[in-house]
Amino acid sequence: MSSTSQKHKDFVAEPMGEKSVMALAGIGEVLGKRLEEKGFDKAYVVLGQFLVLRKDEELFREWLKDTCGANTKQQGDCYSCLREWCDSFL
Amino acid sequence: MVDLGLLTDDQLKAKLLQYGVKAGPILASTRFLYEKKLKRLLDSSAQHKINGTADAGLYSDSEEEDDEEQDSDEEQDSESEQLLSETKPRTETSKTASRDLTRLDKDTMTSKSLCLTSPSSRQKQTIREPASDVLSEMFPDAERTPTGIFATKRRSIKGAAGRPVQFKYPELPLLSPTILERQEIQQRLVPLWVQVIVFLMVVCLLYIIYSCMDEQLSSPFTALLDGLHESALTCISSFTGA
Repeated sequence: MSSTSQKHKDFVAEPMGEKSVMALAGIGEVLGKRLEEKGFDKAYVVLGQFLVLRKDEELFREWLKDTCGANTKQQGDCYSCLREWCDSFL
Repeated sequence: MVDLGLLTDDQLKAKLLQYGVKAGPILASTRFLYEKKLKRLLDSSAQHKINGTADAGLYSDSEEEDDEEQDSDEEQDSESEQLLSETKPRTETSKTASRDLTRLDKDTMTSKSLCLTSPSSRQKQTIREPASDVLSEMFPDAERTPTGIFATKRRSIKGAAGRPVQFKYPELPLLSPTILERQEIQQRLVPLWVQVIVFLMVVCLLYIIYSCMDEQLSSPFTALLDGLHESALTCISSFTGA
């Protein structure tokens, strides 16, 4: 499909640890701030939400849209980033 | 419609399961999403219902008039099969949604089915015809078998037993190396007759030499042999004399 960004590659390459939510692919400053306001200040919290939704693409995308107003591309980037991370490390 | 906000977490989860959606934990962060999803499913299934699909037709069978009762029994089985085959191409959620919806409808909306009998019977027919005609369209010449299974003869494989490649490709000159060798040998066979004649002559000579010996065998063949021997001797003497 589309090529992955550098951010995606960096995120997927290692355990996320205490990385900020802005380290996620598709989540920039604006979206990151909105997520932090909602309480999702670390990447692992978003991961938690992703897992609670049973890694369902549709639900996660919708949740992202509702929570921080991500557009389709951003939703897709974030979803694929998290999914790949889970495939490697979970 | 039931207010989704009034449902408990378990009820919401159960309702989603009815539509074939295996929901995760219903938490504060996920509840809203699942409510939205359920709402979407209900709306889409309501759309299904309103369009008067064969789903309603299934349950109008029970409310049909006497004339169509006999037909309905037969049609029900075929219809359920058709429905299953028709719904296969659709997505999973819609398939289970329609099936589940019909279950719900059966319980709550028997009166509605009466209104839908006429369009559903028409639709039933239209739905029935294409499904049964597909096979006959595809294979118009095929005879109907009792089991409905059609078996056609397999095309024979080239070079298989009984159908050697020779017959398949008669136009080829077939100049394989073995055949060329055989032709060479046949050329050598011509002098073979000469070899046989020479051999016979040698046998005769040996006979003559043997007969020149002093030993004499007492057998019934000796008379014949003596006669032959004499004739051979006379021939040779005539040749040597000439």
